[in-house]
Amino acid sequence: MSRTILFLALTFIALFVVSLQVGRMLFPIWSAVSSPVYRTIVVDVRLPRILAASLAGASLALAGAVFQNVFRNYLAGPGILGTTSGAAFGAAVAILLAPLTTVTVQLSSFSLGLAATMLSCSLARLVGESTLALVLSGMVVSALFSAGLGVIKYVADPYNKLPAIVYWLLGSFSGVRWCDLASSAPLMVLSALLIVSARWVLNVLSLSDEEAQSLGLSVRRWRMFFVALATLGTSASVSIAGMIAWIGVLSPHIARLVAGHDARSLVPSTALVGALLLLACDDIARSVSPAEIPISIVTHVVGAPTLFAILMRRRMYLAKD
Amino acid sequence: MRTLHLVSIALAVAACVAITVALLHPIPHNTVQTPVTSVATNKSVSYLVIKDFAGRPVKVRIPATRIVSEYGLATPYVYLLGAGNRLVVAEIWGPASRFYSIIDKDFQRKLKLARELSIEELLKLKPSLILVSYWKCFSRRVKQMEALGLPVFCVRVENVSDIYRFITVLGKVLGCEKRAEEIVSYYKSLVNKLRERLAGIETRPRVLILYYSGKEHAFRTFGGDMFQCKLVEMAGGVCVSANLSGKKTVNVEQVAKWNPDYIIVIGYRVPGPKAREILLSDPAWRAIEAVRDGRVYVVPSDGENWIDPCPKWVLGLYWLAKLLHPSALKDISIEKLASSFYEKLYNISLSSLKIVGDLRIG
Repeated sequence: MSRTILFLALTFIALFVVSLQVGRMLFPIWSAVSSPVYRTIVVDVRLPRILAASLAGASLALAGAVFQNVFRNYLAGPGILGTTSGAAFGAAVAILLAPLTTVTVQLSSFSLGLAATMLSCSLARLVGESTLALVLSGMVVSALFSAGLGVIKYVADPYNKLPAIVYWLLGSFSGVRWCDLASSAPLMVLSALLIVSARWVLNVLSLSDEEAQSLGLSVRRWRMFFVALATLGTSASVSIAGMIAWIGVLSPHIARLVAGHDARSLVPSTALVGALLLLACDDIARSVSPAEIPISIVTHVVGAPTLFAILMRRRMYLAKD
Repeated sequence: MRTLHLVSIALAVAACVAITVALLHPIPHNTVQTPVTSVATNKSVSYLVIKDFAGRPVKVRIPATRIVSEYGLATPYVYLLGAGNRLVVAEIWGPASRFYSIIDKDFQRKLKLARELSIEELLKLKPSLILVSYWKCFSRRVKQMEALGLPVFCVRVENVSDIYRFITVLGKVLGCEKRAEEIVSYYKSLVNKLRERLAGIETRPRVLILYYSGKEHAFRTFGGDMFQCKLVEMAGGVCVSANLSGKKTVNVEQVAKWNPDYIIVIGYRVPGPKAREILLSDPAWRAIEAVRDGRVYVVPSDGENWIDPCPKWVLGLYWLAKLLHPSALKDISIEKLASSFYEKLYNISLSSLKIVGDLRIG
């Protein structure tokens, strides 16, 4: 178990160092010590971006793992309770109404992401206490905010605001600086640390509600605890980079292949896999062409075939059994 | 069974590739050189058959008196020809509405109509000419309009000769050929004068045009197929982003690699001076020489940026040329040129407009 995590951690550190070297400008990394221009590029351009991509990748992956466990649904991702559609709606509203300050965009996306999740949870309480009720009310809330987003896109000025909204929805780490990290990184780190330290509970939560309760666990309270943390991490990552597809759904699947199903090793592995994946995707997005590629385009291109490969592997395992 | 699977997967992949290639393949749009015009007289009313920028013949009753412009870049040219009062619906590019609200008190109402016009309401307006952009020419909306017998003219203003041609055709349709001719020759004489001035230049400074994107600290630029990049070349500069196409986000590192001599900031959603302030206060941009040396300039704008494909492009051309080659244009004052331009074409004084940006350079 610990060997897998160690291997993933070492791979991540290696990719982190390689990422510092990757970019549109080719120069040996040590020349940053002597040249102020190269230093600015490494310290002020690449480093905050690499940190942001790693943290956002880990947060989204953890959120995916939490939701997949809590809802016992392998297709669940950070969007299942409407968090991402809420956050997207929040960002679009801010772009439409307060065009000048991007801080408002971040704040609005963050708070509406949280609000959407809370709305799903309170709606679920009206329907019933089961996880199915949560999933269904998540669908309702998602649909609601998607419709809201549609309305905003419809009324937005097609020359100025609409491209900004669309660009934001496709996600990008372009222009991430230390000051952006300062506002969202603490939230991502906090949620990741808390999820990782309470990971053993996820094993119990993945049982049926009755079984979990019979083990003396307050299912409802713990479920809310994890959902709140996952939402916090997701909203913080959306607020820094916009919408990023696939990482949340895909990372737990990859982690399960290398670390198995036990949440105690699965959760840290998922975080590392997510960070690795998103960091690699962002390296591609910022360095293969003179123009930035929106990050979701890269994650789609990488994500879809990877998920297919995992499914093929699972089939092979099943055939062996 | 397995072969069948493989074949179907291969077919699906081939279809995806084919669709992608077809989408990426540029549509040739230079097939039509000049508008072929002919006049058909039907007793008391005359009709004109003109070819639009998509090469389709359009029959228009002349002179056109009720114009619907659904293309934000076409509207300014109707005003340029002094026919703004014939516009019943007028779309415009974002902040440019500031200028047109000054020269047409009814502009905001016309703009509001453009944003919410259904086909049926359009029909009620009885338009004699509808202007749409060339990339919407084959849309369902245009097909519907044509099925209803409405004359739709597809407009493209991606380079200077497009602009000359559009002004000429519009002059014919509006019945103000003389004014159209005057304007085109005014533009041409200014361009020729500049060409002579720049004939002896030895260096061509490298220029990057930027505007603020929807995301913090992220800026976008124009590719070589865009008007702004072409204007830089005409002004005796090198557009460093010429290898890109369309509007693209670029990061600091790529800009450092291009190492432009000048950075030109355009204001859209965020006004130019504010965008420059953001750029200059960002520590990462200190990696760029032009930023460290203060060679970051904001394009003058009255709402319409002078280097966009709007009627004021010629002012943008001179402004760029003066910035890049100050010694070749020592005796030319951009303010004086702009002043006579606004007086001549809009009958409005420069001092009555609020010009944002670096009007005074050199």
